[in-house]
Amino acid sequence: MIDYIVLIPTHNRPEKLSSLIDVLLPELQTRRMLLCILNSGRVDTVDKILLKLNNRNIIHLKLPDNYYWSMAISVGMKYVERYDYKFQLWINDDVKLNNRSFAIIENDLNSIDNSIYVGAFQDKNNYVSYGLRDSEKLLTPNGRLLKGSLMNGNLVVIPKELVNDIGQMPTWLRHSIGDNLYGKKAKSLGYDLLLSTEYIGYCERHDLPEPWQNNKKPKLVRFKNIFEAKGLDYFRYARYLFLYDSKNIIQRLLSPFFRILFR
Amino acid sequence: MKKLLKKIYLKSTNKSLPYSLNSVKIDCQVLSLDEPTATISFDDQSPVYDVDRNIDYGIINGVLDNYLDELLNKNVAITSFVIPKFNINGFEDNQFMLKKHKLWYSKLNKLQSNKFEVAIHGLAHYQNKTPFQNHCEFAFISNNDFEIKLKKSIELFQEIGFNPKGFRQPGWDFSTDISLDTFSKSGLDYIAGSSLDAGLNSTNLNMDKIFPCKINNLINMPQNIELKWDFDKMTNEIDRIVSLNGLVSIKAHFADNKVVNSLDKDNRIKLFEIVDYINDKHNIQWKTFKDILKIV
Repeated sequence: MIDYIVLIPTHNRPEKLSSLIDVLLPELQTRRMLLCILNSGRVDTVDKILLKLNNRNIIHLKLPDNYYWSMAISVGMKYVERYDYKFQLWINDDVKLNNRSFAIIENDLNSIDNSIYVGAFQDKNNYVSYGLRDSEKLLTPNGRLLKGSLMNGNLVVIPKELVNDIGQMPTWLRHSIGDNLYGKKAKSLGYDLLLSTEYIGYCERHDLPEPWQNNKKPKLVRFKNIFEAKGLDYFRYARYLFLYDSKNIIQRLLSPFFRILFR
Repeated sequence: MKKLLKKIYLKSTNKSLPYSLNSVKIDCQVLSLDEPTATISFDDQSPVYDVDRNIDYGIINGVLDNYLDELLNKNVAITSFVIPKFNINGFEDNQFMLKKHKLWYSKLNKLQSNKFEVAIHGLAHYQNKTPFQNHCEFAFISNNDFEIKLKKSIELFQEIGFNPKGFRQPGWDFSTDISLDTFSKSGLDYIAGSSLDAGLNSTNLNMDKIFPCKINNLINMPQNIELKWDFDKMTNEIDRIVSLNGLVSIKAHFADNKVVNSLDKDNRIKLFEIVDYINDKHNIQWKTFKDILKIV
């Protein structure tokens, strides 16, 4: 029985993956863990990075290069179905876990049941950067397990029973929204989303505007980016809104085009 | 009606049917063995994870990673038919060339011995999609094209230091245009091209099912035990083959689920049990296909 199956989606960021693996290396030696690298990038150095681990307890799945985050997680979830494990962990390749992260996670997991656990991350100014939102506001960890409604997938822990019940990540998503959607599905089935009691690492905010939001870019580039997988991925976004978040849907679907036209 | 259907079929593919060796003159001779022998052969072993179908073909640290070692510890002999350039939807053409997977092929190379042999399973296992059926890469091709593909395949193995001597066609598909002499011209010593009812035995029983056959100066190795059978059927057939001093040839796909005769959880256990049954009850010799050539 494996305790943690760790899914790490990565896309052409070998240096970030390398530093994440440096942190995970001691954990691999002391815990029953299986790392599953979901590599949709085309940088061939990943194999070399994995040699650090002496090729132990690590699976390297090479994926088509248009899979990005959501599709990669979806494939990873499908692949690890064949193992017996207790928890599934999703970790982004760009986070920096602190040395106590697994101690915090294990401590928190001891006191939760039937919930998805979301790790809180801080930026260089020590403000919360990623984690769990409630009423559009990012929650700050305060020593207790806080409930939220919209989760970010930088670090998520899901017990196997919940994965079996909630199901796989939908395969129609490419990059973004997958984590939000999975959390909403879990909420709709009556499971809680809980934030870690402490920060478990660092991750800088990606507050820079997306190309389609950036008024310094040509309008044609912005318009194209609305439909790109790493942009708004418009049609998948629309499907997501229809299915899970239909409040003000017309306004939200039209606003990107007005934004390009007038801003 | 049958003729009309055949005409429509041929027109849709615009090429000759696969499988049929009616047009090939076969000079076949059954080769006897001095004593009963057993062998296991796997198809499709590859460093690839098939994303679309969620199949693990033996990737590093995957569910089948240690299975070969565990089997070889039971003193069996295995021939693995490996695809040198697995073609999977969505990937670049060269993504899965064997030479890009050094860790994987180094491990396979270390296993090579008189108990483990690597042989060729086509070039890319590519599936031709016709309006009626799916066929694999050698179903509708000319002998020239086949020769080029086979040569390329051998080169890909040689690039990583392997020197395969045997061949099994993906999906048992052979075009009628393929000449069996092409194998010997390419330096191969044998094919394992027939199952009980497919490959060289698809339309007529051309090959013996229990003994190796010499066919147009090439040796064909039979396959006669399928992992999908229940345990009793397998043991009955094994007993019969052993009583005839034949070759017990067990075949499976080195895939962890979905495909026929795959090494799923149940079949992995079943194969262990069958190996134990053969060793305990019959205590016969295990040989790879390459080594069987030396005793026929």
